[in-house]
Amino acid sequence: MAPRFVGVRFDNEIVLLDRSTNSLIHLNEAAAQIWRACAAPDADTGATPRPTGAKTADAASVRIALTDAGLLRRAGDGYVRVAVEWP
Amino acid sequence: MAIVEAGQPAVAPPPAGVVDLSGPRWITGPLGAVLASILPAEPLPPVEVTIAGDGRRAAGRVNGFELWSVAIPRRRWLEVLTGQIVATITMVLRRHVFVHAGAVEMGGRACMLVGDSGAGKTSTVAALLTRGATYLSDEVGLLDPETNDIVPFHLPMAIKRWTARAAGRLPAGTDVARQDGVVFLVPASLGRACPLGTVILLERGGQPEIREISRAEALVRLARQPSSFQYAGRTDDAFRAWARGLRTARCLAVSADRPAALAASLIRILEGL
Repeated sequence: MAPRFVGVRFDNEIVLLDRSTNSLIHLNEAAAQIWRACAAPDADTGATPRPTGAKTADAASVRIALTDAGLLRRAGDGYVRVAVEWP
Repeated sequence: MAIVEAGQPAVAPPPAGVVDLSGPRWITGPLGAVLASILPAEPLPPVEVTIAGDGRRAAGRVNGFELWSVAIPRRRWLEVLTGQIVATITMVLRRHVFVHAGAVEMGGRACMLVGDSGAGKTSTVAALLTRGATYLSDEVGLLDPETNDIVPFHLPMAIKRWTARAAGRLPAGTDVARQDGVVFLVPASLGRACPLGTVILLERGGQPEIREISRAEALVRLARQPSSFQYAGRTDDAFRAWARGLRTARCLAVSADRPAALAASLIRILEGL
């Protein structure tokens, strides 16, 4: 099954299409950096690595917003990126 | 090409090109004249438009299935029916993706003008044409995902009185129809398919300003326009195609009450000066 999100990188920014809502999500440079800093599921095994994420107040609010958008999920005391298809 | 005055009997309805029209000649004549310059960018299923004998209703069918039926207004019906038919054509595209936009060619690269209705797309396209650009479209920015080219969609420009005022002067071309103060003009200088070079997002009002925006922002704003993004089953295609098309494009936002007044500056940008 295709992942919920398909994404494209432009320089340091990211645009993702949420297939469940047919809407686009624009991550500016700062948000893209925070998102990328979180651990990604292993591409081959799908195993969830140890969650990561910088511990600053700004980053925390961005991660909450990204979680609400479905781009991160809570894992223990951290966050993990969801799978994204990069065409 | 002869000028067909809407409301007057046409000598013979010109071929409508991609659409089969049937109904009273006082409607199919001007409508056929407006649609005649559109060449299909890809093979389309049969699109039929039937106008009721009293000229009060129109129905659109694709592959024999009725997709829409509309009441024809007393005024500006040519614009309304043209819009309805163009929307049908863009809906049945299978290979190309589109966005509601004006487009011109300059130096072998396409410039697409994106903005809400009334933002000044037509007047800016007209102003760019009078300064050396060639015409690709006034309504439909059409992208071929295989070649990454913006493909011409040579629907006549619908020039209203205020459009003509905002543009300053109009490009040379042929009036194919007129109705209630709207002139349907096919510009003399027609452009060819070419890669997307510039995307200009038109914003109404404010101090006249041209500023760079990121490609990511341009993609998101482009998707908010009437486009292939809105058609079920084509959102993925549209996302991938426009994301690729934008990779080498320069993206600008233009704020102005009359963006056409900035045409000279825009031309310098398009020329790379």
